[in-house]
Amino acid sequence: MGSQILQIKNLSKIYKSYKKKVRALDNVSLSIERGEIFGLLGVNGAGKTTLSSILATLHPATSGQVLFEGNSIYTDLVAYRKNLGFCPQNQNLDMFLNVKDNLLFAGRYFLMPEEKIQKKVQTLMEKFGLTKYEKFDVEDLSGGNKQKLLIARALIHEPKIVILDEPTVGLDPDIRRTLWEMIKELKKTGITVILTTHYLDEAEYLSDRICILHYGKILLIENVKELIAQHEEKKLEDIFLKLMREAKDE
Amino acid sequence: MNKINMGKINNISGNFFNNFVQNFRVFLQLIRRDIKVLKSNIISVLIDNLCMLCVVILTFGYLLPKMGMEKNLIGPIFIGQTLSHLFEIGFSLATKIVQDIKFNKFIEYQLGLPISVGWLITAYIVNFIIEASVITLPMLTLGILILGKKFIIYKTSWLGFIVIYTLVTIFFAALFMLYSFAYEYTWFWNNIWPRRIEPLYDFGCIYFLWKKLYAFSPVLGTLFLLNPVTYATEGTRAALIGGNQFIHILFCIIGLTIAILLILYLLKDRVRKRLDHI
Repeated sequence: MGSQILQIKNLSKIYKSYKKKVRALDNVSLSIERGEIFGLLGVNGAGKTTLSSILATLHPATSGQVLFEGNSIYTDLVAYRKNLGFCPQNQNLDMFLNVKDNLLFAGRYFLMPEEKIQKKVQTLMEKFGLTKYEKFDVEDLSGGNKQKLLIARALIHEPKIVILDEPTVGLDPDIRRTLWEMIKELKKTGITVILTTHYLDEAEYLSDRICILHYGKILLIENVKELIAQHEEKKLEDIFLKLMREAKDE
Repeated sequence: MNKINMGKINNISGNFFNNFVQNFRVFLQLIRRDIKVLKSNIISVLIDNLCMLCVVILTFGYLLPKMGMEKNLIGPIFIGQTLSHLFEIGFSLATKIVQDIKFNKFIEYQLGLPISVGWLITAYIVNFIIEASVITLPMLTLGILILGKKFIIYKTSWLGFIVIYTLVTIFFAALFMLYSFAYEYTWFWNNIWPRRIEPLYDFGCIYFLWKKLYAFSPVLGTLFLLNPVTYATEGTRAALIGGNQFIHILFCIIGLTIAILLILYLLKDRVRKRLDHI
């Protein structure tokens, strides 16, 4: 099994509509190491969200395989989902429940023992600074607190992998920094993080390795520090822009 | 390329029994959540229904009979009118789903839970049945009590009522879920009521009896049998009031069952197309 927690083999996704076919992912293969923060980068339409939603088992791939700890995720979907936390781009919280109930029910859906749920909810609310908002309706929370709640909800069942799809989009710099530290904390607890982001500074600060997707294909997979060492440019953002220009020229 | 075996994907867990238990336990938690949400606004729901009940009783129990409506129609029309609230409850369910698919996407969170999509949809249907029962059953009971002798009963079949009422709520839940998954947001808001709901509502024998319609025009009567709402209203009348002035309850049960099976078949297809789920 080794240290690879996820292996993606020849993954393709084709969206079909009446008028056209769109190949959102084209034969993507990569491995994700246990305990790393793996950044998924790319311009709009590169396939980042498609890949993360396939890994989150929201949508099926058209072809290819995803292996979790050596086994196809589709052979025991329940076991895989219990090991996975997903924070989507849109803050899809339960608008009919308050903050605490959002977390309580998230634990119940994963059939955790009630006592454990109560403890875990308390811990997470304290960790994410949500305790004083526990009785708040979700719609009354700020964007930053909604995002914290979303991440807390993804962690309630103690998953081994967390997928964060654009976790800091639209948030002010202060909240972004706070969330970055929280994401770093996840790594320290041994959780593997798959981070989809548009923000190159975020990817540079958080990721151990990055994968750049371009029109559904892998352009590059590299350790961030090594990538920066290999280039004249000293910021990931500049390297990314250079690679994008080169890809466009080709 | 390695094609994914969709049969394998659908088999969420290897063992049927474990699979069933897992799905059922998560399903119960989804229902628990729905009941909690319902409980949080139950007072408001009951007040709304009391208001509606007063208006219905005043209109169909007192005003229209004074204006010449046959008195033996009070009971059947009251039942039809009460069941017609299922259109409103169904529309409310459908709008919640349509808005959710378009904006909040909470359903995507639910799709990632350790439960199969079939069970998830079942939870939505059961939630509708609970909500519909909380609204319509007290209305029916209270209305019959208030109308007293005006509500003429020949022979009530409680077993028949339980069966037909269950089928009626399943039918409305499945129908409105189908609407919410089958149509795009804009089309739904602009067109669903006039093009899909209104014909079912108006041609569903809510305000008249099917046998009277058939006596007036056998062609129209036959055409109305294509509308499952006819079986819902007539079947409930047959169960609660009895007598031979309505379509036979067994015929209504068969008609509704066929409609439900057809809708569920279409629903499965539309859900897959809309959500592209595993």
